[in-house]
Amino acid sequence: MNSMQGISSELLDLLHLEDVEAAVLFRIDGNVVESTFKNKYSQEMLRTLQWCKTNVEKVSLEMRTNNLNKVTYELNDFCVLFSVVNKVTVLTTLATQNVNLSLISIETKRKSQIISNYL
Amino acid sequence: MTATERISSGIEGLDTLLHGGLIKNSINSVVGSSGTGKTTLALAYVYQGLLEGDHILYLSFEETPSKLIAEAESLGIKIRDIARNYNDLIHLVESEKIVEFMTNILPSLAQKLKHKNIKHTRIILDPLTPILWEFPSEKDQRKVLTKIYHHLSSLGTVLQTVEEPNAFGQTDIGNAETRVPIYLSDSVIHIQNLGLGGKYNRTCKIIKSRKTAHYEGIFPLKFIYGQGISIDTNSIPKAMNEIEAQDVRYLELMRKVKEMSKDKDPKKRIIAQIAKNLLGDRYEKEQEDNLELVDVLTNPQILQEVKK
Repeated sequence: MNSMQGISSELLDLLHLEDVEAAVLFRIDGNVVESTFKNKYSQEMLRTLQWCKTNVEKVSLEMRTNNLNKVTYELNDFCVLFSVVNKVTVLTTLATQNVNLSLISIETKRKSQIISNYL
Repeated sequence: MTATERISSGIEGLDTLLHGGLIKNSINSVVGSSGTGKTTLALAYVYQGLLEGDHILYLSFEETPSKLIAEAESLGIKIRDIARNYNDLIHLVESEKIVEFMTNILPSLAQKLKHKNIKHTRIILDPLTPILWEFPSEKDQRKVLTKIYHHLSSLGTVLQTVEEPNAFGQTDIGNAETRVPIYLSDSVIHIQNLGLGGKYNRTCKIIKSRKTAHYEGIFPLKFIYGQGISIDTNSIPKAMNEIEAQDVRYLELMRKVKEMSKDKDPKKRIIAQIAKNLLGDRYEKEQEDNLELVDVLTNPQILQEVKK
């Protein structure tokens, strides 16, 4: 298994959690390193994802400046969780607002650590 | 559909991203900020050309030929070993002569080379940025560049480097200074360096490539002694990289396996499952193993024994 397949399978694991709609590994400039989505996705979700892509640079800069490991946003009926993987990448988990926030928070953090070993 | 003739870029991984290399007689741009590896990429392109016996026309607008050769040698690109008289390949165009060179000398040079019956020329404009500065309006840039490209593409395959005017680590591919060359180029390769370390710190992305279903996304890039630059394309499934994926026997076998997996006979379904499992690992195996596997699975005698 190469590193990208490894990252991809870790993202898929996140997607198996209830209410998680997408998991994306962003580079801090907004480029997508790897992503997974639920088969059926809405326009609203794509809009939220576009917001993530545009703002990941700003968010990651904020996280770095204030030494934050994870940040949660609620917008467009979605809950977005950014978690630092390494200096260059950020793991983003997108879920509906009914999601068990504690669970995805723990899982995203755990997956970030695993993914960092691939990079 | 007609097949497009392609040439190797000389960069490991780049030909894979472009499905076989740069299109012959096309205009290709390498865009990136300072220190990303644009000149190194151009030097590797020159070296590949020399290996393939192409004629080289390297127009440098900043650095002297000796400096460029020294830069190549520091990365193990041994241009001097092949072309002893590198001054014939690399030409320094002084800044005060840029306009005259691009509007008068270059078109006549192109005509001369055409009459010499040279098979193929690799033309390098490194960097194109000083030319763009001479023509501040986008309208003039378009006019001049269209004319130059017309002459050069009839001569050979052009690789030009374009400076991305941003602060270190920041990128903005669509800004005014790079817009016109990107718009006019047949393919655009964007190289980035965030300056933060790690695998995805230095990356390569194909912004556009006409007549090519190129790969999307960012691919890690690193400097390697001997090759100059190498692009990591491991994330692309191996089978897609290899001609064997198009092997008719393999495709036929996959069709048969699919049919067998739907068969009423449970034995056939089991055989189909075994074949599927074996073929599933095909991506991980080496090229020779793959061929061997297809040979085994297409052999009726062996299949008969498996059935028994």
